[in-house]
Amino acid sequence: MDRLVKRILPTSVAVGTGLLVLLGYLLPIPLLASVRDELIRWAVIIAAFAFVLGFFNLLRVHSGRARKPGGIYSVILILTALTSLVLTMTALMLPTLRFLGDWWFRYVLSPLQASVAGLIAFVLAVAAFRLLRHRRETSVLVFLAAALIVLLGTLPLPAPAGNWLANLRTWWMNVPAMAGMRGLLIGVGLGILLIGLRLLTGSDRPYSD
Amino acid sequence: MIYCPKCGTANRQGSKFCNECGTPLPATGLRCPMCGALNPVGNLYCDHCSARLIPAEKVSPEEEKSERPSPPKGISLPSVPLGEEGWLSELRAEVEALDLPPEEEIPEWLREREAPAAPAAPEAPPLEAAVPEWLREREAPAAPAAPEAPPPEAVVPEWLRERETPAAPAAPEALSPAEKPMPSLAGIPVSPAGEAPEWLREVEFAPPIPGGPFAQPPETPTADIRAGAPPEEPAAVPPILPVEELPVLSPGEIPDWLKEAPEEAPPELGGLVPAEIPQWLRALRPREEVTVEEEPAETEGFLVGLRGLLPIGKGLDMPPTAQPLLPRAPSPAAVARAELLQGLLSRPLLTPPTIAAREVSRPTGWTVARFLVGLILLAAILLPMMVRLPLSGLPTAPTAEALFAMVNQLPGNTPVLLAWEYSPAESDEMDRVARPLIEHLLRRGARLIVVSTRLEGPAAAEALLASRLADPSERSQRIANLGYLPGQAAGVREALENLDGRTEAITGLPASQTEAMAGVHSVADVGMVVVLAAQPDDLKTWLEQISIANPNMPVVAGVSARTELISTPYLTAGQLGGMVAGLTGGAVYERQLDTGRGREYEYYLTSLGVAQLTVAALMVIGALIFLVGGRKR
Repeated sequence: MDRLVKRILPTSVAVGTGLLVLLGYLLPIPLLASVRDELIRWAVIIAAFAFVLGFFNLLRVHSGRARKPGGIYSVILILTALTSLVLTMTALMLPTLRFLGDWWFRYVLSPLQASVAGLIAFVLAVAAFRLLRHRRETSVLVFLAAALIVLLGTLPLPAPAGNWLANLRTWWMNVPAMAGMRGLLIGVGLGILLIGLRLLTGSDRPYSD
Repeated sequence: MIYCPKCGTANRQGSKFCNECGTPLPATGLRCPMCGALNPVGNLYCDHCSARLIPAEKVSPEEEKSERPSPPKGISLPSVPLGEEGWLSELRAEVEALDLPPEEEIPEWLREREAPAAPAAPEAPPLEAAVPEWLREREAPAAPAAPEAPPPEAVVPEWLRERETPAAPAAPEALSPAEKPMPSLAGIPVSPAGEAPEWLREVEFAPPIPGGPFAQPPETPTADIRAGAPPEEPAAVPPILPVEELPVLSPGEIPDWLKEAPEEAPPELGGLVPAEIPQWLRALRPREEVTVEEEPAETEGFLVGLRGLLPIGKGLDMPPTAQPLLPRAPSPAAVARAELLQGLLSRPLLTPPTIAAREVSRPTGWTVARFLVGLILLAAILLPMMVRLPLSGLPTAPTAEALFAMVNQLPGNTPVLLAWEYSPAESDEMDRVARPLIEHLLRRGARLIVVSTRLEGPAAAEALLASRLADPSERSQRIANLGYLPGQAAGVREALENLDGRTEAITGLPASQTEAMAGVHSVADVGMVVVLAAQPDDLKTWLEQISIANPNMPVVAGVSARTELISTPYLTAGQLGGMVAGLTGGAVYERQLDTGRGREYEYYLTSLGVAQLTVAALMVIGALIFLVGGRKR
């Protein structure tokens, strides 16, 4: 019974659903197409409900951490999440109070997110400064050279060095970088195909034991 | 501890092999007399069956009346006395309520059982009391001193009568003890006349008592006969004396040969030795009255009130090899480790260093370097505000120019699906990419249908669109914000097929009732799809789903600088009709659109150029420092 509930049933549902959606795309049968669209609609509903569960799980986890040392950050997180929830729900239900939600987003969330993202520039600058501190391998030297070419090639430096750097940057972006990126995309595509096949055949069962 | 019999090493209790030399260690413990399990030394009760391992000591009646003594504590047993189970207490109460006869009224079966134990037969020798009934019957022919009443004639077996008949034609008045009934021989086959049966020959070949009636030693070894070897000569079988030649003794008289026998001779009686009596049979042998009285009665457990059930002194199972030896002298290494441990324990306790102390202990040079890098970056941000630097030339972006041309070809009042895939964290860059593109679409009279797979996407779109269309009526005609799409790729796929089935996020109206969504049911009804993506994955998701839903749908993108590289393959493959990438692409689009914000983009481009130049300089300086100074670990 335990094996049926934890392994056989989830695997059967997942494989069956995947095959129905796949056949709905491959075969020009209206019934299969309607079943495919209905299953995709179910997936969207389940994903939306997962957000609700995730929100309450976040509150539960940080409620436990709030009592431990350093729990002040968890308290702030809980208060922020509850405030966002209350303001957003109020703005949706009472259009006259919509300004509360707009104010919260424009003057709290946006500046905080932009500030955190701005720290990345400082971290990257420090990392660039320490690039050769620990490793002096060929790959690090190539990375250093490519970064300098792209950074300096974008700048409107005076000719003829500026023009030479701009042409070098264009070649670098269109040939080596593009080749690497195409290789990455092909690898990602093959990986997605392989994962899909493994899920359809039941070799991978991330949804069960 | 168990000491190794070979090297003397002390091993942990329960070890099977020596930890030093690997020699198998003897098992020690108390053997339970009831179940046979081996218990740790010191246990009073068995760990497996709860039987008492050590007999209870005899307690005087005064002590029993004063206080019931608590049993000594064992090793693995509870310190409190074992209480009776509920069912046992109930059963005991029922038995007491039955009004049983007093103790003197012993049942018939118990009296028969106890009868042999009582010394009620003074004429019988003590030896007979210790021998079972069947054994006494076998011994009877050898000890004719206990005459019994003559058995009936028919009890004598046929073969014996035939054998006796020629030897004693005239039967005596009183039958000899040899004619006692032998029921145990009834099933034995009769041997031919003049030849003793097999069982009798085995008995006769046993070592006889010197001076007894069977004093003649056998000539043939018993083992040969038992092995089945046929007797070669009939003379090898010792002759059996006729019954009439046996001496007739009066009752209570002991024959001479028996008097001369040593005290330990009884095992030889009848050719049997006591070792042949089974254990279970010996356990059933009645005990003497005196012995039973000396053993105290059990006061606890299931054996309350019973005596003599546990043997005294037989529970300890200690092999002779388990001699506790003194441990060897510790090795120098062990002594050194012990001294080190003692030294560590004798040290005063040190308070752990706090986080602040650990930070102070970091190299000062590294802190200074980080501080300098921060100062340089701050200067790179502030410098373009104070000084106009010649770092913002006229950039070129062919993809942005191609996109501008595509938007210019859109007919008026065309619905355009706008995928808003960036959050406020990326809005500093993406707003300057999206703003000229949206401005251009609105100028062309397009209706914008906004969706997003990011939670902050609809709000970020509303913040930008509200600044462009402040009039609510105009906004409702030109913009429909359909909000967040859960489910990632599945959500995009579902939305592309069912755009009018959603709800407008700002007004709360069904999308099909808004003016901006007039005539739009799915992605097939829009004239263009614009993807504003800050992350590469978002752009890939939209391109894949649109190519499935409507492969001929024109798709353009406004992306961040980091997404530009991964977008280029889709652009060259034709899946993307045009693209605006980063601040440079936005500046080119802005310049072509001519919205009057050229100075703003020039400032941002100058700041970006200064930052890029600063980072490049830091990389070069850092590389030189660490190349010259050496690698740090």
